[in-house]
Amino acid sequence: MSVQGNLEDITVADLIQQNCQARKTARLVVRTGDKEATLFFAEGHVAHAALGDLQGEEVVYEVLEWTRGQFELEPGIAAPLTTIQRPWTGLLLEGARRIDEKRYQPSNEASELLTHSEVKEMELDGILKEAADQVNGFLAASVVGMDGIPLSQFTRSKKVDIESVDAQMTLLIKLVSTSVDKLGAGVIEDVLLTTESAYVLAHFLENHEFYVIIVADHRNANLGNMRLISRLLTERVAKAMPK
Amino acid sequence: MTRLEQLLQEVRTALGGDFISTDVVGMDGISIAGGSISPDFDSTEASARFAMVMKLAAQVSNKIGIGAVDDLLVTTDKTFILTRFLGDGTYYWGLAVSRNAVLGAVRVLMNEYADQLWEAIPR
Amino acid sequence: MSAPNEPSPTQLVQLLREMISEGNFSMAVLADRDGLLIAAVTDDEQSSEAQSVAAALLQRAFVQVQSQLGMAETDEFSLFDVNGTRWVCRPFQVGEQTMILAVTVPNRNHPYRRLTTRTIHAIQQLWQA
Repeated sequence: MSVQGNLEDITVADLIQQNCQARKTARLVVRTGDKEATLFFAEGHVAHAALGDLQGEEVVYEVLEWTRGQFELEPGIAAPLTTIQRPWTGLLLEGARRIDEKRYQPSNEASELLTHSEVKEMELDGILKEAADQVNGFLAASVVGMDGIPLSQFTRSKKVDIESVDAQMTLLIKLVSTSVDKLGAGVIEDVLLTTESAYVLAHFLENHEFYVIIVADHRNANLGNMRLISRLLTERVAKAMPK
Repeated sequence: MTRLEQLLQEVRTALGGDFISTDVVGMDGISIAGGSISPDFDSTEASARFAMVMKLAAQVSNKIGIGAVDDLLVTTDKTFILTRFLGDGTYYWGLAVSRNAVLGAVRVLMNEYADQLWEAIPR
Repeated sequence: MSAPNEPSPTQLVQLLREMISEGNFSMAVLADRDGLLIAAVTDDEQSSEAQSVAAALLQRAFVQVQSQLGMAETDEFSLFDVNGTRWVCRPFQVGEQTMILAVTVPNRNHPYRRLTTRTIHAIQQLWQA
């Protein structure tokens, strides 16, 4: 049974995320104005996308910019061909990056803001580098938006793919945030994932639009040290954030 | 009272006034033992939601390449929520305590009881 | 108000080492209010984590007791074993963060107060620098 809806209620990015996470096979038709694009989901991927004569990833990036329009999702319809290899997380990240780039096209007025932004981002880089000396077993750190796009990253270990950490932890944090919210369990402050080899601590900034991630080696890190530094780091990052 | 419920009761007693909720949950999101003492915390809903969270956590740690998940800790202004896989990962144990709890002590308690809970799960 | 600078783990451990050496203590642990370990100088890692938990549990208990007794804030509590070994906990504030310095002193007559006070001040200065 098909599902229909409005892009003002649910974004294309969310539709992609939901269907890929649920590993659905489905066809998504999205319309805005006189344009109509078709995306096909298969086993956790966006397998194919078409918009007029255009096919593949570029269709996805275009559709991600559509904020008004309608969509129709039909389950069980297989993709006629495969034109997209990139994982869905990568598509969303690249799509968001392109949207950001377009938003910050330099103009006379905008170029001053861009310079201020650049200065602030350098300050964030410096703060993360200092954190590396303050956390036992430090591996990597970043400042990430809730769209999964990092503002700043620093890594000391080639073992850690910080891009992957940022993207994957954003998915986890979004699900945790939704769960905590629905349970009425309070305002989320941080999420700590402990694995065999690492601690990954994500601490929210007060506005909950960004968070700071610290990754540390499980064998060498002290949790008390890590949590304390992440709290203080978050305060400094909040002050240094580009406005 | 089953052995599993008995162990969870011991955990509740050890945590005293900090205890909010605890459940042993299958990865289908259905709790097989436990419950909440707080009317504000729905342990049935928490069990289902955090089963999804733990599944995603396992996928995330696999994709990042940082090994199998030991546990997840969520800190809010009101609660600590701790979840950890039991045994072969077909069940997880969730525990919610008040923010006043001594977190280190709660983690020690979970370390002490995790294996016992796994052994006590009926199979 | 500017955020305090964070000392490196090495600086904290160095302070604890100096204190242990000068005071002839057997171990020192710096814990947070949640009973998690911040820094330690010890041969036994498990023991340092256990001490962090114990210090935080006792700190919480003493805060409740002093409130019930109408006492001013406690800045120290100790446990003695039958051999006379003393385990001293010194809670203190760094900004809004509560930390607890715990040291193991060889016997009940062994001086520790001046040294632990000095170390606490040094830790506070490191964070405020």
